[in-house]
Amino acid sequence: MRERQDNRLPEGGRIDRTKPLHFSFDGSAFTGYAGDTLASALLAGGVRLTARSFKYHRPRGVMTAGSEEPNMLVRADGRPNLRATEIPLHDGLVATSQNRWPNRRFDVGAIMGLLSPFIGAGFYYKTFMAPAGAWPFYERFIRRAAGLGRAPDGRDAGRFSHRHAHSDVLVVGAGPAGLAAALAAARTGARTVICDERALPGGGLNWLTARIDGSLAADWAGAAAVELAPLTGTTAFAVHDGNLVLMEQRLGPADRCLWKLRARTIVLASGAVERPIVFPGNDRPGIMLASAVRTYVRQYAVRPGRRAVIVTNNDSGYDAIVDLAAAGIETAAVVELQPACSAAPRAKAAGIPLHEGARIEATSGRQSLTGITVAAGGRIACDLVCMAGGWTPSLQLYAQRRGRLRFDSILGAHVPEDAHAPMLVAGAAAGHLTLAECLVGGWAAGRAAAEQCGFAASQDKAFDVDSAELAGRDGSARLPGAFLLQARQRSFVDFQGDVTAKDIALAHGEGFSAIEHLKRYTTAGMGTDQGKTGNINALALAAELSGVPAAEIGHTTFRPPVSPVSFGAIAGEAAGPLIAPTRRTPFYGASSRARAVFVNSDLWVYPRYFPLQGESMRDAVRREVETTRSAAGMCDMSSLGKVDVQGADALAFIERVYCNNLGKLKPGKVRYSLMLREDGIVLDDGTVTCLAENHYLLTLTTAHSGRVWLHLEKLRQVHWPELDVKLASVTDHWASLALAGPCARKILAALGPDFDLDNEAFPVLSMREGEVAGLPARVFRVSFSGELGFEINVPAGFASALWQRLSEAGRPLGLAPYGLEALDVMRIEKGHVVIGSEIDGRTTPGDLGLERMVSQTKDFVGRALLARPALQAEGRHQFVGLKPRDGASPIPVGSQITAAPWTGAPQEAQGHLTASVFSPALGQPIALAMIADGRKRLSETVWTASPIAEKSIEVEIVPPQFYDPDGSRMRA
Amino acid sequence: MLLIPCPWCGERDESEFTYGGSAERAMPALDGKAGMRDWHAFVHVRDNPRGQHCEYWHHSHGCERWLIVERDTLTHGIAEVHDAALSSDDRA
Repeated sequence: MRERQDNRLPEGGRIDRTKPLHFSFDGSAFTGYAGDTLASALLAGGVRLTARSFKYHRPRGVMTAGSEEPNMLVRADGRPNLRATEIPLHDGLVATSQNRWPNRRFDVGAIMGLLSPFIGAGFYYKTFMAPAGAWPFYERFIRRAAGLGRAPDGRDAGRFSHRHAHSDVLVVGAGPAGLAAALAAARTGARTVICDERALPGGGLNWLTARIDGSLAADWAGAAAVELAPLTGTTAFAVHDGNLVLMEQRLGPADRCLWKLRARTIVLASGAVERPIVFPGNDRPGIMLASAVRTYVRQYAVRPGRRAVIVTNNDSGYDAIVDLAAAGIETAAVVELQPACSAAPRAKAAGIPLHEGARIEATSGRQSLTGITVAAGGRIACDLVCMAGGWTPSLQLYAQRRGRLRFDSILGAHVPEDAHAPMLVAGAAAGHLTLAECLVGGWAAGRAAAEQCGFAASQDKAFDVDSAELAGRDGSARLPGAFLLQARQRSFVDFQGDVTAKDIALAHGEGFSAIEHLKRYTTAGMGTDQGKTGNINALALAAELSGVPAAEIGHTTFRPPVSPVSFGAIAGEAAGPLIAPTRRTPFYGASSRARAVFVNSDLWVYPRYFPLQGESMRDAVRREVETTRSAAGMCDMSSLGKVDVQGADALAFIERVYCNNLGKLKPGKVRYSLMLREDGIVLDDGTVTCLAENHYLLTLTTAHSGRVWLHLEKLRQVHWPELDVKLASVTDHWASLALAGPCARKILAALGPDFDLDNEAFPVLSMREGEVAGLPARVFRVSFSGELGFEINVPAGFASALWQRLSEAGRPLGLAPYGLEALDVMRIEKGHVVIGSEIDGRTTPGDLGLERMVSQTKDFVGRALLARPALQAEGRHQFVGLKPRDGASPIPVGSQITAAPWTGAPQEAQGHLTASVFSPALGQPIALAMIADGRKRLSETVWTASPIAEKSIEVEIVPPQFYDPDGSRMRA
Repeated sequence: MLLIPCPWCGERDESEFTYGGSAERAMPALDGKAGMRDWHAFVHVRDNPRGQHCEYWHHSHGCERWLIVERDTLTHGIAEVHDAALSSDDRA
């Protein structure tokens, strides 16, 4: 019965045996306790084979007890590639192994192991090249074989949020050094935040046998945690400029909170990770880090095996002897890589056979370890190997802030060059490995951090530490590369990427010896574990092969995140409808009631068309256009930018900004105007209205209003501070409704304006201010549609009232609302240029046919560089219209312009389409385009080519003004 | 994520600001005298210093003032911040 916990120790551990939890793994039911991780619970249940390796599909078991886990990646509750050592057990957890088919015990993918001579490092740079066209065939298989885990289907049911915080001191890591630092800082009164990636604070204190100030280490940690309230299950994964620290907090199985914390000072107490030892056959289930075995025994009350061998290159391997004995695990031998070791008496005192200066030749066991073979020692039967290969300080955050690392050749890993800048580093992260050093050093760092923030220095603290640990520093002894390379079995360096010693040698032999090349060629350090257990071993082997000291080979660049972060946490609540702010115009409600179909245009939600019952979009748009051209239509124009300009130098300011002359613009008059960039290219188009002397109103396009606002303010504040002028953005103050069509004047008159609407009294391109429909209003006689038109502006709060009163007044005459689609059709028929289509950041006024707007008498932004020869040259693409020769074929949007029909053979493009619609006014498809020398080629025949639509249409170049070219309807 | 000390609003997150390019050159005056070369130098020619660099930032989600910020392009340390309109204009 699987639900028995055969490998659970009868007592001990920091688990809650009163809270049994039921979960499943690969369909089998198991039981664990609150406080377990998925890994510890499965070990307790006797499961040793838990995964298949990435490339060779080798049987693997868990190797570590932390976030550095390279092997045991599982799919839990539908989320792939999670490290089982980090998943807190919860009731109802459903987990499966990955990268195997049909199951982990019998995996067809194991055949990859037989192909291993052909799929070493970088094999994909040399294979799948021929035959040339076969790649799509290969790709189908490669896609299925490559990768780890299966992408989730459906939305993550977790809840995600962001939190912003500030603190004086942030301590990363709540082990002994971190807790001591946080206590020291907090007790000075500094705002102190402490976080730890694990669910239980205390780090090593939860599995070390020691006493601090009289209390058991774990109890001391518990008391400190009560005082400090650490953020647990919280990984600090990035530090950015200004000490902005990003942390992912895991709240329950699915919920995540992303913290963005500004810390004035940071104490990095992130500890150190134990290294595996590189020897032939070092990856079987049951071969684990010594510290991980001790953690499972002491913290989780789990017995990971029955008969163990300790493989070590330093003193801390010997600390495992006591823990193994306490769990009833027989220690069959200590295999020591150093020729002589100061801790040897410990083994002898415990009666354990010691092999000094040992060379490991092989291991045995297919789906679970059965033995290890030592030269001059023979085969030792065992089901558990405890690897103690030295300690690697976790300095990712320090390096992210450009802290420099120094290779410590005794420790065999990098340490901070300066433990005070760019952040304070304490404890094992600084290379101090004894408990006493961690506590004292942590306290000093916390004091220093608080002092840096101006909090009065507290006393140094002496800690009374009672511990028998050796915590050896030496971690440099290794099996020689030559020995590893001649062995039959593979020696794994990066377990997650299946990178072996042979791969490192291969890369070196092919010239990829520089550390950054080595990483990318072998993929060592590129897995989800980011090489936490493998990088130093890879680096050391590469150094040996290159014949340089490890200190000189350098290291790869550390980039965020330190550990994988869920996308949900990064997104927070910005998902679905909340992904971006929604901007609604003041007519949103009225448009909704009129049954508008809306579209997202940048951040705006805009009416696209107003279908009657059962109408398709095509029919609705056609009806809207025909109604507007024959009776009247009304359209929401509120999103256009509006800028109010006032001051003694208001005219001088706008004369400098626009390329057309504005000096003669009298109050009540409107002019269509063009704004250029400093380099002469058209930036924006809109209207300038003179409201009164020294008082103007500018309109900007919707899409560019933000950018142009910045541009205007920069000119005013930075470049022309001597001008007496003020700008105010009034975009949101006014609701703007365009009323257009032959009946527009009659309908407007029915609203009882208090000014004369006659054509002489209120001519085109003028503005009247007064009352319309009982509402304060500014009415501009401008027309984008080309019909007789009035843009009625009322203060935004009156929008619904205006819509309602206008609708009522217009109903007897057939007034209907129209949206963006119809607006676009009408502007295309009129040949009006718009942002994005014709004003695309490459076009000059001349290209657009607007060269007559450019003033020859004044200086303005863009004048000098507009005169550049290339911007005035022959052959530039010019704005023209197109009509299909057969009068009927629609022209696909996105087409290019060519001299001959498109057959697939390359041709030079002479231009491109900027718009294409069916014109109700002309009864046929029309298009707008930018074509080389277009204006000189009217009546010429060219072709449009659309490889995507696979259509090529014969067209005639015509002037872009298809409908009412002399504007008589607008001027009526 | 820079912390920019706005002279009006205090230290604020970089996300409140919009970058506005180099402040190492002044815009030529619009008096008709500056020619293509002067404008070309202003619009297109930049030094790319390793070290102190004067640049424009707009406090878009704050006071909406344009600021001149002296930033070290290597360390991102910010030395000085001035309100552009109010600071004396003696850049070459």
